[in-house]
Amino acid sequence: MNVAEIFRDQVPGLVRQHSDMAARIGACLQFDFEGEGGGTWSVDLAVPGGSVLDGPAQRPDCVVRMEAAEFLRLSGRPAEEWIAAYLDGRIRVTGNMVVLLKMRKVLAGAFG
Amino acid sequence: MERGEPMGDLQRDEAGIRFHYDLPPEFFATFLDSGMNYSCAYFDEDDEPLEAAARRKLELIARKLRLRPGDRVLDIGCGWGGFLFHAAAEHGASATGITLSPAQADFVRQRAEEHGLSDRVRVELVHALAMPYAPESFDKIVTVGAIEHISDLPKLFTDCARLLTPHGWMLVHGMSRPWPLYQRNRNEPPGAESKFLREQIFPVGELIPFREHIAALEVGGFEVVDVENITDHYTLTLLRWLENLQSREEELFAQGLVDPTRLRAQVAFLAGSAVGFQDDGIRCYQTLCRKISAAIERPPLPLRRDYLERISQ
Repeated sequence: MNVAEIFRDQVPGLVRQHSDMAARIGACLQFDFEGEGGGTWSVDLAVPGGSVLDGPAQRPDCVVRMEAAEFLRLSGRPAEEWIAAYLDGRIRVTGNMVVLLKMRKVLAGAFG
Repeated sequence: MERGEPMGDLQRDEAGIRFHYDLPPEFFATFLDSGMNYSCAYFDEDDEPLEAAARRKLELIARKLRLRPGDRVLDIGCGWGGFLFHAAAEHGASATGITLSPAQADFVRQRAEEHGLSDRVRVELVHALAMPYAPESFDKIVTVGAIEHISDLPKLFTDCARLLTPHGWMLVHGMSRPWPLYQRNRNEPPGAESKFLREQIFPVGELIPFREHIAALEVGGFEVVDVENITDHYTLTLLRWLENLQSREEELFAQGLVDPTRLRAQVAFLAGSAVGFQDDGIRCYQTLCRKISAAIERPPLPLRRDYLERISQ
């Protein structure tokens, strides 16, 4: 599984599965994955039904940056490991972090 | 704060409080209002600036307490003195604050000197469960955002009643956990978020159901006069603090004022707390109460509640 497969094949289904929660969040989160296998993906829950974009959002509310390899390593791992990665700077967050924490519940099925 | 270590040991409490509140005041100043109020403000409108809302909160408390010139006020867990200075400068009160953080106490003393209020603003390093004051030393007591760190509320409020003059007023401003969630958490091992809070933010403290606040007030000897749910004000406050802190995050990294891990933890804590309030996992109440003084005739309260509305304006 690589980053593109997770965002292309799994995340749209999670947005549909959690459509009520997604609508309540109503914000856009952008992921910038660096390094080999990286790229930019955006999960926009501000539009009706939500959408997953292969590329940057026009006006993301929050941007998460990390190495693609780190993301793949953490996927499926317990929350403690994600928190540790954030605290030591392997995950960097700009913009409204509340959006990330809320969207985590929608994306948990793919990220862990 | 979600589920810290059980408390009771005074030294452990002190170490736990110092872990968070002894971070440099300059760090907290980057996201708090100029009065350094580290508890929720009181907003007139959703988009009101934090500064005005923080000041309104102080005035709301002063008016609920019916603060008058010359009143001797005790602030339990006074932080950096936001209410002490308001009570002394705006209402002519003689204000005493207690904290376990030497950094906070130094800050209050210095600010008191700068503002020429050293004669009316006093701060002492005192544990809330070991207050050394004589009976009836105070006319009013306030505690804002501190009971979350105090393990024995019945003892605290019993001591408060002892320290107040007959029918003295007290205002308790504190967070609580909705009962169903509290019960569920008690039956589960601590989750990642609880561990994060205990290790990175508040080593001591716990959010308990609001009914335990009320029960402790009654055990302590207080008549509950009014309860105001200010939960939504806390959400707005946290979003302002978060915005302020995140806007200066890079600058703070460069300055090295605090360890980068602590800085990131603070950002996550503010964001997580905002989500906690929005998801109905945390509530905040202001509880106004009056000491029961059975030997003296009970002064009547206003028959209608609208006097509180006038206070709020």
